Amino acid sequence: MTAVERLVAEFELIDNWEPHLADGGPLEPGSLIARVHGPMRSLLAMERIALNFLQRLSGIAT
Amino acid sequence: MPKKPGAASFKAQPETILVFALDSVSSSALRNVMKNNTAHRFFIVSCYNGEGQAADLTLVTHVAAAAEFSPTRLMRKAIATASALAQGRDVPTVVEFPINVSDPVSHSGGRQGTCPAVEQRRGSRKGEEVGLHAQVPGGNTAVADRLRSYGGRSDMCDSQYEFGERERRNVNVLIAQALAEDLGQKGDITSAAIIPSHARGSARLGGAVGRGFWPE
Repeated sequence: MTAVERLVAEFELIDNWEPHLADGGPLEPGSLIARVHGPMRSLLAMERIALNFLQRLSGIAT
Repeated sequence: MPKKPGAASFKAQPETILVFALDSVSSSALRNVMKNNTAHRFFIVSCYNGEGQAADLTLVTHVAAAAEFSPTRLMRKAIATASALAQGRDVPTVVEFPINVSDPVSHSGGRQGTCPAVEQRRGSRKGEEVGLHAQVPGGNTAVADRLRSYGGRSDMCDSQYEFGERERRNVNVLIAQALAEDLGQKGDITSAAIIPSHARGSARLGGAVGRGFWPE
């Protein structure tokens, strides 16, 4: 989550970033990890990179 | 290589071997195994500058390669170096391969570089040096405080899950690499082509529904 938060900051979306999990927290299928809103271009540009980090690092963590 | 590179496995491998450690956890495990069991063996360490771990793995005789971060590129270079050794060519005792990405540790006195993708995205800020830390007010302390405020277990932020200087540096390098790889010099051309500049939206990140690879 820290990595993704820093990525969100890079896209200047940090003020609109609402994480619902802390690093190392358990994650259930369907549970909410975070919300973010802002310019659509920034959201879509960030989305794939953020998912890459979340998926990869969550895989390592588990 | 065996799937579990334990001490017995290394001792049972008399010939030249290549060993890849693809993240810091496996690197640490590898280092511990090698330190205790592979005296007088030679390793090529392939990691980004500043890790400072090369000396731990640089011994004499057989060949291994430990690649941390940017694994594809580092592995390619490590294999090339191992190949050069196998062919009898001279290589330095310690072979280091720098990665030319942003080094955002300016707050701790390190060099501050630029990431092309970030510079391009911030075209309106000509001349501004880009440090990835710059957009996180308060740095790591602020992040930890915010994680506590989100309802996370505060002990996680205070103990084993808090990022230290090395982790922060690694994360920032990885982010810079990801931005450079995914957005490059041109940015996200798909979004720019199909989304009006004034459009706004919201997104939810959630856990996927499914069992993944977990066994029954």
